[in-house]
Amino acid sequence: MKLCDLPAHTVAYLVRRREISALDTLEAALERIAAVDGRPGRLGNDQNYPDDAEKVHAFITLTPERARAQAEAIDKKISQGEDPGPLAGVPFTVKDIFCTHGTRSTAGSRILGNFVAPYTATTVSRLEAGGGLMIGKVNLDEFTYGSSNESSAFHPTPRNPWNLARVPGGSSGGSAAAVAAGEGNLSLGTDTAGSIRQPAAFCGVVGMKPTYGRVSRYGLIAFGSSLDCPGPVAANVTDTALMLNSIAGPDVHDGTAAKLEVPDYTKDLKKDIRGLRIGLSPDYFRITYFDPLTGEFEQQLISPEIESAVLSAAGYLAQMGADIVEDIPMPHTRYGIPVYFVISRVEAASNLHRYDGVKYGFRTPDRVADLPEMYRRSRAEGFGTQPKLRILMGMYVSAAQYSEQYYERALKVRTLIRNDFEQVFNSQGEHRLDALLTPTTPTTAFSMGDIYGDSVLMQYADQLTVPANLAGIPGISLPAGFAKDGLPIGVQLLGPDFSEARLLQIGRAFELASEGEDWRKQRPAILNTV
Amino acid sequence: MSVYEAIIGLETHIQINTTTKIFCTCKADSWDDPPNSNICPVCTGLPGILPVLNYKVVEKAALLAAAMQAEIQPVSYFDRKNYFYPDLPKGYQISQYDRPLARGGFLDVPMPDGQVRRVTIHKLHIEEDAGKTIHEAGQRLIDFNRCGVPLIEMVTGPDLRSADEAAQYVIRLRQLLRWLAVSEADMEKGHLRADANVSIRPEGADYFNPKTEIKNVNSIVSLRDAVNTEIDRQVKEVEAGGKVEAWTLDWDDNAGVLRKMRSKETEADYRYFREPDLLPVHIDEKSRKRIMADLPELPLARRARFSQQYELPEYDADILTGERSLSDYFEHTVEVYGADAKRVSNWVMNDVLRMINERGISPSNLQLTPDYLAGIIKLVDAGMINTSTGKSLIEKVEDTGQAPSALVEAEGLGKVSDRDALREIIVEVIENHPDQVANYKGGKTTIIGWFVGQVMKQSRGKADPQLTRSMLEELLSE
Amino acid sequence: MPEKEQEQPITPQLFDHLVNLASLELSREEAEYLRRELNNQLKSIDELEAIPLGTETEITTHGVPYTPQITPEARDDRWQACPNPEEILAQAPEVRDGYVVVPDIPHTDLD
Repeated sequence: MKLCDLPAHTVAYLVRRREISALDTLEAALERIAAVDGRPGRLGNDQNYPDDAEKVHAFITLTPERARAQAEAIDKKISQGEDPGPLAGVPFTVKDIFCTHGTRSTAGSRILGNFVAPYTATTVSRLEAGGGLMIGKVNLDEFTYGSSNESSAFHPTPRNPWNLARVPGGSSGGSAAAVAAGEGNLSLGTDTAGSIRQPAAFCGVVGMKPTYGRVSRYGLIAFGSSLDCPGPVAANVTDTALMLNSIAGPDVHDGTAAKLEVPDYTKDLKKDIRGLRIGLSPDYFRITYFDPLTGEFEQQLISPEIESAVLSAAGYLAQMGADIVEDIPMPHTRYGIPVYFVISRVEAASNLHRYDGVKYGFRTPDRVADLPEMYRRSRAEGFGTQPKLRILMGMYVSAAQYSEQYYERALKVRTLIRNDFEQVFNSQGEHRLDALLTPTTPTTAFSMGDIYGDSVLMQYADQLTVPANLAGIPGISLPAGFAKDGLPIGVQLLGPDFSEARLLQIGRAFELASEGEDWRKQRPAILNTV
Repeated sequence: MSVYEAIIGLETHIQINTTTKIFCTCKADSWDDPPNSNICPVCTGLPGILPVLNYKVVEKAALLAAAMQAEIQPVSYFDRKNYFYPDLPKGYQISQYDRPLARGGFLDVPMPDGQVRRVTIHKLHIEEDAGKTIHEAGQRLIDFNRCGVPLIEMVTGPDLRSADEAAQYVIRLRQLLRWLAVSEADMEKGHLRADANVSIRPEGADYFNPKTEIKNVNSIVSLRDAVNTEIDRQVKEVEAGGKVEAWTLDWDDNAGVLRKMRSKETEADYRYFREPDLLPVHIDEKSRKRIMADLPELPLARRARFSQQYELPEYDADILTGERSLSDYFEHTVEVYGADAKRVSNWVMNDVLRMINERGISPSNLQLTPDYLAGIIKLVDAGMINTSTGKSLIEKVEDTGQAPSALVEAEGLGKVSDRDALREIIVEVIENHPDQVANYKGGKTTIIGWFVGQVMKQSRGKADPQLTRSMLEELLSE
Repeated sequence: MPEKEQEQPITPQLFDHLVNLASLELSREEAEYLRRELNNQLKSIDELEAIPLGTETEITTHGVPYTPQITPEARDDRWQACPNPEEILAQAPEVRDGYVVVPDIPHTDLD
């Protein structure tokens, strides 16, 4: 097995024991990138090159010099008998929504196309302080607006390593694709409506949205300030736990980062799950969609393939001693997307006000008559379609005359969605669940270009993940097999506030129980070429 | 022609004198700094930043609220006020909209004519300041140094009835802010800004007409001028049959005129919503009690007490309570002196105050401590030194830091009241000026003062004037 | 059957007003596409209207309740200067004498 395909925790172990050097791991990662990634995303890249369709294109900016300097420092520390940190020598990528000092931080947008951040996000600093090697910034939907990574202004956009004609998911498409293709063992992503979990499911890797406030948002270019969560994307549960150890915890730069101690998430991974109550809810096996014939939103059952993957996972968990509890009511699940449409847009429109061409980012090169024209031109030329959609909807639903009807109402329904979870997780309640087990996505990865123009359909791809963002609770997506079309299927575990340790435990139990399965031996198609 | 009364309300923005800005660790005060030097990613609204509340801002605002007898809210919230302006880097200002830090309250403002105007406070909230823009060569230059400076915004009811009253309110507010050490309140440095809302109505009416808002007033004098100008304008408009519209006006101090501001800037829909990056501000009962307990005696209350307790005339009481450390100094001196407060008041209001102003020292930093000042007065009382020596001792003690009695001894400043020594000097003066003696004896008795002066000169100021005079009269009549 | 423009919640006029408020400008095609998508999204948002909300239903601004146990400490009033303010200024498109330069409001002379 190649060095870049080893689990991160193994790599760190070998580096700390000096069996390999940090420079070795870096070289292995760079070699893999050279073999599979192809052209990195660039602005104004409209031409298609012949082998574009055969590469992953996870990256926007590669940072080999930075990684090399870190690798040398780590190897030096080790040779001097100092502790290099728990992530010693592990290459990782960073979704280009995080600010990294001295490196372009673009948010996948022309409006920040040449923005070089003068500071580094707390989560990235912590990963580097833990010994990790930042090998580059990976592609994403523009400002994280999307579920397929297709809206990025940096082309070519990432492709799904399992089938390059399919999307990797979004908005952390670059993160999930990179990890699946062995381009860096870990990736730092963000999840606002499912942007870590959904691409993780599409790309057959593990992705976790921690509890809101568990991980500092300082340095995360904001979309939905009450929804955004930085989180780990990794190939397995242990690596996910290892990464969460490094990034979680309070931060003086973030007034919403919970003042809660960070346990060692790797410690209790092998703890058994006997007696844990894991629920299945029919509301998560129904998919909401817009029917143009009736002009209404209808519901239908999720595909039998995906249902069966979840039930199979439940079977494994039952084997490991958990109690599977059926028929859990989560009645407000179908309102997640409508509520999200309102709240996230209000926050996004406000968060995007600062991109005005005045003090950083894109300013129109055209001659302008006055300041208002400079604003309009810069924003019109700098923003792609997705930001414009969100800004305009945000303006509408927060306008003085509509705010009560839309924004306040959505905030109240948010309470009801949160209530659904509080009821089922209540230890004195009727169901007393430790976790909910659900599908992660309504479908497997769809084809590139298939649904991009339909903003409603695209948003509904997040319908099973978005409730967790509205409620603030943590969630994790785990690879759980494949569909007939050869694309991965992910299953999701949702738990009470700050129950990351338990979710990781259950995830690990599932991994162990299913480790003999054939589907665990499959590798992404792109790796057949290396 | 009907008589109109003016209705004026004030919206004041107060720069709080904390060390750091409200949401980041840059300095709050950067008046003398070069442009864009006192900035950081947070106050310049860079992508990915988050505001972190400086709790001292809440404490100072709550103290002011307590002093204004406002109701401090146990929970208040921050909101975003969204609009585009180049000196507002995030494109929104973090402020408080519907759940402010405090509600209600009032300030009783004494007017020169003896009346007291109760000015009610609508609400008091905290927010961040924006940067500064300068016009130059058809462009705007932006300095972000001031972004994020903590502000208290206080809105009064429409309670003031003239430009003079408005000016008095601002004067008393400024005094209170300095008294509580909440703000330096220097209007020229923008620490205290007032926007005036002005309308008129026929005298005796009980409804309100549309009001205009006057901005960019940078001093008490400008406030008075601007408000008077606007009242005149409104009266003329109405008497000519026109209507007053709710304009926003910009005061040009140099030209002395009001200009209508572009309405676009003032008609924005700010789309207020709860700031998701900040948690609610909690002031629990325990904290509230502590703030109330920390509240010092306020200037107007102290003024009334000084009048009563020390039987001081209103003028004295006003000066002595103008500024907190001065009034503490005065009272301390009275306590040490232990007797006639009016006597202490004279010394403080004249010589000590003059020295403080000339030298720019705060009373609390004087080497001339209350003990020493009381000592000087006692020496004069006892006749050990004369009054003019006492006055010079004020500066001497301040310069050297030594006790007055020590200085008197060291420099031999004691009065010459020894009758023989004095008699010698007097006889010498009389012998040296026979013509003046003749004048005196010829009936010009008023020149006795001149003789006294000569004796004082000869004795280098140490002679006792009364004794000198009586001995002169005695000797000259021989 | 396609809805008449004026029957949709976001009419072309309201849409143009929103574009203006947002300091944007759009081409004809972009405007039409965005307006259509917004109206489609509103159909989803309208799903919320049918939900019965009691007057007691509170709003939730953050999903997770911030109890005193997890609320972070208040910040001290201590000065810590940014180490590299010049790097922040270096990001501005136009700088003169330490100031960030932008066009005037309302008009500048074009030569």
